[in-house]
Amino acid sequence: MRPLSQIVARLASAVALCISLICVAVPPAGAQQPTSINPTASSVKEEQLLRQLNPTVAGRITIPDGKAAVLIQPAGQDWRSFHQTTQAWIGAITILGMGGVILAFYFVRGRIPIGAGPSGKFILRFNGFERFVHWLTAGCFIVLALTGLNISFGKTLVMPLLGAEAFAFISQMGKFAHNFLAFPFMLGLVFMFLVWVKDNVPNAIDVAWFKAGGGLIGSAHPPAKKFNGGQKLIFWSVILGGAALSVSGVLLLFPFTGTTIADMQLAQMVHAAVSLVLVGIMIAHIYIGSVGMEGAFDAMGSGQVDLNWAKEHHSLWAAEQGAKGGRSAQPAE
Amino acid sequence: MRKDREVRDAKPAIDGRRGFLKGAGIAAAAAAAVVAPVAGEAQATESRSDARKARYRETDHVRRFYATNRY
Amino acid sequence: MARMKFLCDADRCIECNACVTACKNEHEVPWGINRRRVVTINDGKPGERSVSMACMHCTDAPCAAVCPVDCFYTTADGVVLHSKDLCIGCGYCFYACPFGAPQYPRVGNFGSRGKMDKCTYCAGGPEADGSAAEYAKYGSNRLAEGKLPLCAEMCSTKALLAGDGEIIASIYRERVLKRGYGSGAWGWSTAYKETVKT
Repeated sequence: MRPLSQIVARLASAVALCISLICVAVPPAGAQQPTSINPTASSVKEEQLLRQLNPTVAGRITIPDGKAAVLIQPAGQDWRSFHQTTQAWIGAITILGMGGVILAFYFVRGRIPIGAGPSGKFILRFNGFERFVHWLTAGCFIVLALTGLNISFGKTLVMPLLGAEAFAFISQMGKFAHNFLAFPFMLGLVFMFLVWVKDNVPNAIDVAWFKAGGGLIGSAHPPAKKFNGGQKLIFWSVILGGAALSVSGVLLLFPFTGTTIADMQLAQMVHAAVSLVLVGIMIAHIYIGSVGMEGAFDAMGSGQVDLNWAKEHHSLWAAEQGAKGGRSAQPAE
Repeated sequence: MRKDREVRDAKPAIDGRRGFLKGAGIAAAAAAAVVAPVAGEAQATESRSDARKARYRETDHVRRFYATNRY
Repeated sequence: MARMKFLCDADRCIECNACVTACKNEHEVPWGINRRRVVTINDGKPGERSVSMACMHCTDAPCAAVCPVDCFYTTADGVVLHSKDLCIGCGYCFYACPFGAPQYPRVGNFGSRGKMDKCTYCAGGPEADGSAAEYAKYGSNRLAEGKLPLCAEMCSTKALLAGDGEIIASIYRERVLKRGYGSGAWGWSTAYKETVKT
């Protein structure tokens, strides 16, 4: 066993060595810091983050608002250019383009008459519930479309006429209308799908109908059941377009509930593009259902259509109804 | 017996609360009277060009801010 | 003409959040709304940096471009302000804003937005300067009083600079020159299409 004094002596020398090492490591006060050390060598660089494939600058925050963690989102500039340019072009092409096409069609073709003239006899085309569903959806759609167009293009087209205050007021009311009427519109879509889907399954008759120009080109009336190929196209664009509008619209209605800023921007772009296309399609639908064709409006007006109109435009359906007999050939009220 | 006492005790309390409402009505009228001339003398909202005017001035206060930030 | 800008010296910011607190207190900003916030990037990793961010009062402001009711206006100082009387709370400015500056109180139906609120550069709104109506809607108007935004004025480490863009850029340049490093003027390339050359 070593004597205790030896151990104490060793410990003492070790401590002394440590102290001297520390003293050497710490530079004397007032000494110049070496200029070669760059404290920002490893620091994050904005430029680098913005040069990424999908540039965002995000980090950690200490407030509950999660979306505030995104410091810079250059994607906002892309959304701005969609909103200011692309969206306006889509609107111009679908709405003005469709307007132009219809005007040209009207001058070339005129109002499509009932070839054999009105018979004076009527058959029931759409019952009360079908008409209610149609007008529920249509009424909502018109208000939604007008308020939507107002928020997209009103600043350029309407605000100069009304002044800032009045325009802001109608836009505010329009926002409320748009938010609330979204719900009956979606209800109408669901009903519409349930009531009419069985008559809207595409089949070989529709192919023949399109090949024959659907009666729009030339004067032939290709055969059709309750809905012809064109009407099926309208049905499916309303159902699918309406579904896209509903999904994107609900996301916009409940902002940032489970969505990020990129999702919200995408939802707005889908909502705007689909709705502008749908507005274009609906302009054609409204034209052919009212001014464009004799006897067409009655189907959704009174629900009773002229027998000759039915025979011309929906020959197979008219024959079916005739075979069923009974209430098919009801006289007009 | 207890119930009677409660009712008696409650009465002035109700008066106290409603008395406040009476007071509030008078106060509101007074406030309106006070506010009206103020709104009259100064435009509530600035005109479009007035709102855009420059407000920044290099005051001593601002110069001191710049100076302290140069350290 | 002086052009107002913000510059956050990220090498000085210690994420004390005093700018956030000062702003909320100065303007009595309601619950759930932060006109200014501090974001820490690469938190916990070597080289982390904190940046205090609010509205940068952009040149060619994206919010103003996309606003459907044209409620934004830029003052001669380059400050981007808006009118809460016109705002309809559509949320478009938030989609377009690169800095997430617009904030919305949750007063609308379906949890949607009320009238937008954002940093005013302590310059109020379209109501008369220093009026009670202006204070209630936009907070105090320090710029009209010959002062600068409070967040910058009381910054403990002098990280956040506000004022004439040219002056604060020169202050930042001097700092970088003296200490030999600087991580740049965050947001400037996006907001003002220019950077501070050092």
